[in-house]
Amino acid sequence: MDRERFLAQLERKLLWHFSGARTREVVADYRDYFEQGKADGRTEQELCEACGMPGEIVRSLLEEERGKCIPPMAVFCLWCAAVLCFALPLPCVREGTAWLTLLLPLGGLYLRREMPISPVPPPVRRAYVLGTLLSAMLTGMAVQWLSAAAGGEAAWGVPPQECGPKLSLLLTAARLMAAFFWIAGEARLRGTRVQWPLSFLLAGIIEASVGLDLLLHRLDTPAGFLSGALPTVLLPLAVGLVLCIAAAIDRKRVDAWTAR
Amino acid sequence: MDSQMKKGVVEMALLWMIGREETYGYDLLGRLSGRIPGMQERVIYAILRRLCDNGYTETFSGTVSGGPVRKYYRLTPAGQARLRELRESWEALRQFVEELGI
Repeated sequence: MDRERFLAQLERKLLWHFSGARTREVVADYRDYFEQGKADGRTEQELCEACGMPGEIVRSLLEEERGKCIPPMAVFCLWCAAVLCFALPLPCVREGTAWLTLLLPLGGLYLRREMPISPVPPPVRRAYVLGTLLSAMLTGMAVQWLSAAAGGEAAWGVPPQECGPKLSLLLTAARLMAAFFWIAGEARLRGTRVQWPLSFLLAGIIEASVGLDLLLHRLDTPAGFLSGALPTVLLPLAVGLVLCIAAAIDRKRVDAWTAR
Repeated sequence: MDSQMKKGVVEMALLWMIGREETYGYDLLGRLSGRIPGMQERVIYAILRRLCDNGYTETFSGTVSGGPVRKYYRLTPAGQARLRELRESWEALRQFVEELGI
């Protein structure tokens, strides 16, 4: 393997676990290492072999991070996000739109690339995140069950066609909060500050998806669409669109910030 | 030798070398690599980074006698305290091994 290929591979692998700034720092150190090694009369091949595979370098760096604890705030935020996901948006469940809340974990996967390092090694982090999600899911289910037992089934099980503007607004707020908590939890887990544009983008995608789904379900009921249903459909779409645009604009600022 | 033990020795050696003179990464890797069996350069580099993250060392850009600009390392007061602590542990360990006659 030649130097440039080695460094490109190293950079790609580092970005999965570390921030852009830290990645650049490590790659710059290894670039120096190659230059000084070459000046010392060693070949690129020899230097690559001495370093090991890029994946092994990343593993060594992560191993040195071992022993740092999980910030409790991260667990709390992820827990809140999951409770909101599983307990609150269920009025949509009859129409099969509740699965859209699964976009939140997908957003989390996207963040793996975009946000800086987690202070704990991946297996520990995964165990904590899964444990948090599971306990929150159970809590969410318990909330539903208690609600149904207390005669609140009409409130929790109402189909989207019957969602009034107030309930729709409440659900939008709940989904926004879930997106915010998720991003905040991830940020805490990675020891960095909350990246608002990512939070907006995630919430925006969810809102737009929910709005689109409701719109598709209403196409056969034009009368219902006009009588009070309009805000239910358009509100999530409008919020989603505005947030996506805001994120697209602010994204440049995020890039500028990480490039420093 | 246990890898954690080796890492402890490498940590002490790095702090000692940086404490004696301000130096750069390649020089440190070159002086240590091959001296401790089974200790690869990438592991030494990762330990060097951790020492910096923990505040035991700090970096600055510098040159020596007109050479290229390099990232140099120097010891901080926290690093000196850490080195003292490691040396005391090492001394106690060495005495114990000697007493056993291994």
